[in-house]
Amino acid sequence: MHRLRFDSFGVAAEIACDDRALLGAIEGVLPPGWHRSDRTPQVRFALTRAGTVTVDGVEFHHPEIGYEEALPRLASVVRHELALHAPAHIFIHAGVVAADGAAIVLPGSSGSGKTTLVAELVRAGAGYCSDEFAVVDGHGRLQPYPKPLSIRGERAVLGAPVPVPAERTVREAVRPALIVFTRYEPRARWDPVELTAAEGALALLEHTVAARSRPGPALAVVARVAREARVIASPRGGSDAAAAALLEALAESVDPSDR
Amino acid sequence: MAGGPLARQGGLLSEEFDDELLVYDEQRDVACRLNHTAALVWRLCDGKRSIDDLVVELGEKADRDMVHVALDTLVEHDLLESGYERRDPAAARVSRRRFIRRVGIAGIAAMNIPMVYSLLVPAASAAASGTGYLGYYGGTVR
Repeated sequence: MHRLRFDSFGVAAEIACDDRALLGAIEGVLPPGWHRSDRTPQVRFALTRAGTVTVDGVEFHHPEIGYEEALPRLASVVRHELALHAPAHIFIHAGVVAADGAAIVLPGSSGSGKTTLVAELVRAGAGYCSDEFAVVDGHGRLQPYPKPLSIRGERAVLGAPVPVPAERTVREAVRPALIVFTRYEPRARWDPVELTAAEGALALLEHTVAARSRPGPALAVVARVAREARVIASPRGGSDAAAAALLEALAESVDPSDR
Repeated sequence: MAGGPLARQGGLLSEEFDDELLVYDEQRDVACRLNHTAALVWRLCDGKRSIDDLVVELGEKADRDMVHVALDTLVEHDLLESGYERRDPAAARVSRRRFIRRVGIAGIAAMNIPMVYSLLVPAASAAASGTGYLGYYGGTVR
């Protein structure tokens, strides 16, 4: 087996594969911020040319799909495991965009349309931080996690890539200014209600990867983020109208002295 | 007087907000949001204060029905250690109805009615497919 060892957000990991030629492709789907490392891996992944993906020896996917389709699944599993084990960060499933150092956080499940909304917000002028995780550090700041933006179809494993200009990719930590719980509903009108910080924190917990495994840090982080930000909820119709409303709400939420 | 309701402390993590409280039950992986009134009652449950003592502590807007509503809600969410037994649902409904009738819509709007909203925190693998929040998206809050 050929092995690639790396660190990401403080987690040492290893990916083994049975074909050296696959290592380059694997490197291409590793999480944002990875770097090579010789540390003893805390979590071990494997991918075979036949398409089998394993995590610490447990098979996740059967080989009928082949490695081309298994690769994005491996990438997803790697990102999830690192999010679960990252010692100094709490990962919340959310899209994140920012303007002037202030972020909009869009917690949401896979398939809730958050990537579509993130893409629309970026098209409307926001900076791109992440379409998968809000990565919160010990100071309550959101670290950029700019994995390539892509929108999945209903059944597609590989999403359609959405190009993000380099200058629109956020590279610095940003502060949470607006947390938005929203979901696409046909013909819905954007009509936000304000949530209390406690309501926001409770709702964030539902999307927090390590909420069960590390409830103390997770609770502290969601509370901190929800206290600092304005929290709203609304169903939404078209993503373009919602994006415009959100950028306006972000501007309203930011204290001019913070800009 | 001994034997009053005692707030559970073991196995709970909590975060204070302006007038609300978020409590994480590590044994059940359930997170609870206590509104102002529920949080107030829960903090006063030291095992020594009786229900009448709690009424006095809570001030002129409080009565026995309000305290019962709070304690019924707290015990339902496993937030009391001892000193208060889960009541017959019919008795609990009577207290709630009487209290709501007394405070009216304005009182409910002012959050005088003690409420606890709980959420079963999903396992890590399910966090990606959370159900959303509140009535908007058919969430798991109750």
